[in-house]
Formats: sequence, C-alpha cells, structure tokens
Amino acid sequence: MRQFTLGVAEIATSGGQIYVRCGGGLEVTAAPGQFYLARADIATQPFLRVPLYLFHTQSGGPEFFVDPAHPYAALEPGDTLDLVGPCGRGFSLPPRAAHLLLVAGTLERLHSLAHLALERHFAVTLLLPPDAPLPSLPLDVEIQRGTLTAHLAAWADLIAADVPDPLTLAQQARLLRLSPPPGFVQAVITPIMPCGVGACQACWVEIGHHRKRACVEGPVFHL
Amino acid sequence: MIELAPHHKRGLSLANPVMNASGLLGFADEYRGLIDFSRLGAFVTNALTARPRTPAHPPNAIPLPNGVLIHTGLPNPGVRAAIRQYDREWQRLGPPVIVHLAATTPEDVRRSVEHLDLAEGVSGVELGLRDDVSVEETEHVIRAALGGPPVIVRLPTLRAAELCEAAARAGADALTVGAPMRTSPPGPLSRSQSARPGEGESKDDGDGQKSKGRFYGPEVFPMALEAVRAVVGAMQASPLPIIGAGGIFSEENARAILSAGAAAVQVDAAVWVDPAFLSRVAEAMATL
Repeated sequence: MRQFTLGVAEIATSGGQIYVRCGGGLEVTAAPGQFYLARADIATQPFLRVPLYLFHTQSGGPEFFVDPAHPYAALEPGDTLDLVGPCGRGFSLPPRAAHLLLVAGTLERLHSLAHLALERHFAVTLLLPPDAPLPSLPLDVEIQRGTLTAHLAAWADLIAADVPDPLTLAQQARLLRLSPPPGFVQAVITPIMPCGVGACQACWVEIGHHRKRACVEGPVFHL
Repeated sequence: MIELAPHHKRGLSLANPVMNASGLLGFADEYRGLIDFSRLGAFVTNALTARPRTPAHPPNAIPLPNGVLIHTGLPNPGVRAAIRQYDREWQRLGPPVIVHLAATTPEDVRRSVEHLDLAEGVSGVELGLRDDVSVEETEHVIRAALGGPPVIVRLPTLRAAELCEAAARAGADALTVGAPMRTSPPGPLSRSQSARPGEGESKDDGDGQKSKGRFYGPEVFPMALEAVRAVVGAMQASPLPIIGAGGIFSEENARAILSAGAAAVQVDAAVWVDPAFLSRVAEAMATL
C-alpha cells in the first residue's frame, strides 16, 4: 500500500468505454477486482477519493478503465492522478477452472479479469442485462443477454459478478447448480469506501452471517 | 514539547502539536506505509466502548458535494479485547497513543479506564461526550474516568463553551474542542455520486426519520475555530490545554487554530482525501 502520483498521458475511447493511459516510470500492479483510491485536480472530482480499477500495465505505463459515467471520464492528457493502493482483495481464478461466466451490466470492475482469464485460455461468457449497452470486448468472449440459466450455471466453473443484488444472484446460482465448487460465485461489492485501509469503519457489508469491511476483506467476496 | 496534562502525575507530552482525530486512522496501524507516524504528536484511536459493538446496519457513508456524512455505530471489539489485540502495536507505534473512549455510562467508563490504566501502550484517554449530554452527566462521566491515564474530554463543537467549565471542574486534564457534528443529510436523499444502485443511501431508523451521521468537510472549520475561541475565552481564569479539531484541510487552518489559543490540533477527513497531508501539516507545525 502506497501513495503516489501518475500523469495522464492519453485518453482512448473504444465502444463507449474510456481508457486512461498514464505515463510510465512506476510499477503499478493490482489483481483483478483490487482498486486504487484516486484523486485528481479536476472539476468532477468528488470530495472523497474514487475507486479506480487497473486494466493492465503496458510497457509505456498503467492503463485504467472507466465507464462514461465515472468522474474520471473527464480526465485529459496532462492531468495528474494521486493514487492510494492497491486496496482490498481481488478475484481468484481456481487452478482447474476453465469456464468463466461474467455477470454484469458494466465491465469497469471485471474487464481485467476477462483479459486475465483469456490469457489463461479460459472460455469466457458475459451475461448482460437485456438493455445494457454492448461493451467492447475481445471476440473470444461470448456475449449473452438475459438472466442466469441452469445451462449457464452448469457450464461455469466460476461466476464473477458485478450486479446490484449479488446475494440474490448467488442464491439463484446455488439453486441452479448442485454441489458448486468452492468460490463458485465471486462478486464485487463496493459501498462507499472513504479510507480504503479498513480504518474508518464505514464500509461494512453483510456476507452470509458475517460482517466484513469491503475495502480490506473485499471488494470481491466469495458468496 | 507540548504538555497536555501539566497537573497529572504522568503528564502527556507531545513532540508535535498535530495528531489525528478519532475515527480516522483506525485502532492501530491501518495506515501503515501511508502515514509516517513518527512525525505525529500523538495517535488517537477509533472509539472504544466497555463492551464490543457491531457496525451499524447498514453503515452509511454518504458523499456530499462538500464533504461526507458517516454513520458507523462505532464498531469496536471492546476495551479488553482491544488491549489484547493492539497494545503491542500501540507500544511500537512511536507517538503517544491516546485511546478514544465513548462516554457511555459512568460505570462503563470507570471499568474501561481501569483496564486502560494497565495497558503499557496507552498514554492518555480521550473521552467523547454525546452531543446531547447534560452538564450533570458530563461531570459524572469525567469523574468516573479519573485515576488512570490523563483524561482529555472531547466536547461537542456547538456546546463546547457551555460544557468546558463543567469539564474542568470535574477534573479533565485537557479539552478537545470540535467533535464531528451529528446531522442528517440535506434534502431528499439521493444516491451516492458513484451512482451505483444501493450505495450511499441513508438508513431509515424505522420511525420514518433519516438517520444521522457525523459530517466531515472543510465547512466545519469556521465553527470549530469559533468554538476554540469561545472556550479559550471562557477558560481564562483556569485555563486547560485545548486541542482544536474540525475541518482542518490546510496548514493555514491548523495555524489559525493554534493562534486562537489551542495547544494542539486534530486533523480529520483531510486524511482520507490525502493521507500525506497529516505528515505534511505536522512537519509545517513543527517549525512554529
């Protein structure tokens, strides 16, 4: 965990998604689902720091991925990002898994997981809500629309979710798939996280019968 | 050196007038790697209570354009478990450790202080009073806290001048002026600025009223400064060391509080905005 600054080198848009490319010089790493708490000196910066998810680190420098609604969609080359992180725990791809099902309306927090899974030769399917815009993804990713089915639940070795009600999704998955493997449903749950280090006690979430701090024990939870 | 407890047998000396406010940095070294604790005058823990407390259900952090409203329920493992869990870290941390104790009942406070008195890493106790505490309760709860480490009493910002003399009468060694104000979010609640469903919504307490939370933001500063001035004025006859707190977001804010007569300052949500700010302002105040 450290605090450091990066200069924004380039903003790229693809399929309605925004990629924030930063200058190099610093090693920036994060597991998919881990986040940095960021601050930028721009008009759209809220009072608190904003979670920012690393897409990948190219040789030129790290690249972050944000939705068009994200405050940092307004970043411009030359702006500076002050980052604290990496925070929290990310997704884990089980060693023998081969089929990844992503369930999300937006890929801001799952994008890097999809790419990591493809690098490891997973078959990846994205399940989108009927009305969600089509994200830009590698052709290898199959895209389906609708709700979780018995067929998809049986196919998947891991369901990675970023949905408004992940507990209900996990319940559905358990009904549709008997004897699911450990860590079958992993969901990113992000209440407002003021500090990112587990100090402020403002981001407790209830997972099963346990209460956990999303910023240090999440934001990815095994449900 | 700054002496916060000149009349206490152990004293409470700080090498720097800058410390964190309770509720900001956790119970021990959660900010390890981000904050240089050795630069701070003291480290103030999150609130402890005699018995363990679970988080508010659900906890709220509601981002507002000018700050943040937070309702946590003061979750903590209880004084005895906290001592078992953190006392070694408190001894290693560097600056004096001040344990913030929520002033619940005199009996709970008395028992908690008895335990804290045995903890080697604890240099002082900050007793946090409720916003609606009476003068009589103030005196009772402070007297219950005496007999152990030096006692700093944290007064509600808007009632600091009203309660400060009672606190001094009851035996407080020092006063923190400027507890975060509990308030409700303005207007109809909207979802958080991150606009993700379900996030940032305030809890309804079941009686149709929005729950309250502690408000943090730079707008608190003028009220905190005014409260410090009022307490300094009210305490001229029998002055106690004062720690000014609330909305300090710049070195100028810290200087203004010290110039108003405070011996030390507590930094609150500026730490979440910029963790490096705490060390920076401590370094700047060290040269005063």
